[in-house]
Amino acid sequence: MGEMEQLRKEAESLKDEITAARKAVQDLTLQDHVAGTAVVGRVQLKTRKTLRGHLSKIYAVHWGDSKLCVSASQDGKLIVWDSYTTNKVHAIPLKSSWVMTCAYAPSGNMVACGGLDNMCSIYNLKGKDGNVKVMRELAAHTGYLSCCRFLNDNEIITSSGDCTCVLWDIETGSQKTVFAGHLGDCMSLGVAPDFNTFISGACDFTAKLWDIRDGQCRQTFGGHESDINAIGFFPNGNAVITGSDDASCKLYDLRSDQELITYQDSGIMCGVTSLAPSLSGRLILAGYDDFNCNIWDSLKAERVGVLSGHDNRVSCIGVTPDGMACCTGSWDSFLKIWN
Amino acid sequence: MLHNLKHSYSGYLLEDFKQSFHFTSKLLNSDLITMDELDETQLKNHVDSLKQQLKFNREKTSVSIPELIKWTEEKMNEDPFLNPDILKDNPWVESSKCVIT
Repeated sequence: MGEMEQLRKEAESLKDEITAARKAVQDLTLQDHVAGTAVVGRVQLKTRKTLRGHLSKIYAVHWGDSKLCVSASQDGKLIVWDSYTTNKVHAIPLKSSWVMTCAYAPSGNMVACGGLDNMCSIYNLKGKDGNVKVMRELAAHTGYLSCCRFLNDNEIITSSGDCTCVLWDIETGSQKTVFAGHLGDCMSLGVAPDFNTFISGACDFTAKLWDIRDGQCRQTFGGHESDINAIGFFPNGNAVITGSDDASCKLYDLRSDQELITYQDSGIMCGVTSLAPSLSGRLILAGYDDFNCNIWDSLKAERVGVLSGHDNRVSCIGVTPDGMACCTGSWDSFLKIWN
Repeated sequence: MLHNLKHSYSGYLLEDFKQSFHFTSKLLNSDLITMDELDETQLKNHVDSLKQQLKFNREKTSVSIPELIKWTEEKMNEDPFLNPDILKDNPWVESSKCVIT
């Protein structure tokens, strides 16, 4: 048997062993445990603000704190908004208008974006003369930048169409760690609340949990039947939520290393573009290709609400750190704040 | 190839960009890689990664699920979307008072 054939057989056998190990610890399902729990009551969120100013499709939004957020649009701009007043704090023109993602640093000092230029550009919001300038251009990916998230003012993680994720040192502009293993474009990433791990969702239909410091893939979650477009941590850091082109979202438990439940409905036939959990994780807000956001009871897997108001695809969604509101961004060029 | 791109969200984004952007052939060929296409090094890395992942210390679901549910149910009281009292002071809703400054 050739070396390659042997390796392929070994891979298949290891996958079977992992499946068996997961089954061995499955002595209770989520459905079993919540059989006696009531579904939460109907959740009705209202649009409180509409953020107007982008001239084209919005592809990404990210909250900096519970008031300021940054959005990225095909009009070639990053806009930092004061969501309370709807004022534009910064309107940053981009070198490349083909932007697919944006991120706000936890400190509030920087924002980042990237897209078809294959780069992650870092902007300093607190420059001495008050002008917002490019601070660093992180270039090394050989595919589009699908997502980026700051760990701190000197480290950022990116996911790319080149099937890898990268941890960067912003000061030197160098790659500290390359996270390779996905077999398809990486579409989305989320950082754990404790900043020790991150998760990535990809076009190979899997989600992977990575150890940020040693670069290892700790766990891989399958089950989706199409590309994973959106991913996020459950607020306690012990579970992962994914959203896919297969029209479903899934909840994976990190501790038992397995899928707990699927959020789907025969009436929903379009892909999930974005998702965010509420503060407690009891609600999952998911944006879909059909212009709506569905609100799911995460424990009972039932739809308990809908956010409708956009005239085109909801491309991005985010809940404030204090859980007080969520923001949706759409191809209709508007952002809406709901609670 | 192209049909894979169209049926994924990335495809929608890329279809949009393609209308007036000259893309590289690498983008067009961004297919799902199958195990058959990995070279020997990649396959070895894949096997090594699976060995590492198998080692993961799995908790019983009868322990992890009740703890997840307990954490969530305790947090629900602080969740503004589930506890209307928290949103009585809503920063995005103008109060009825008008203040002239």
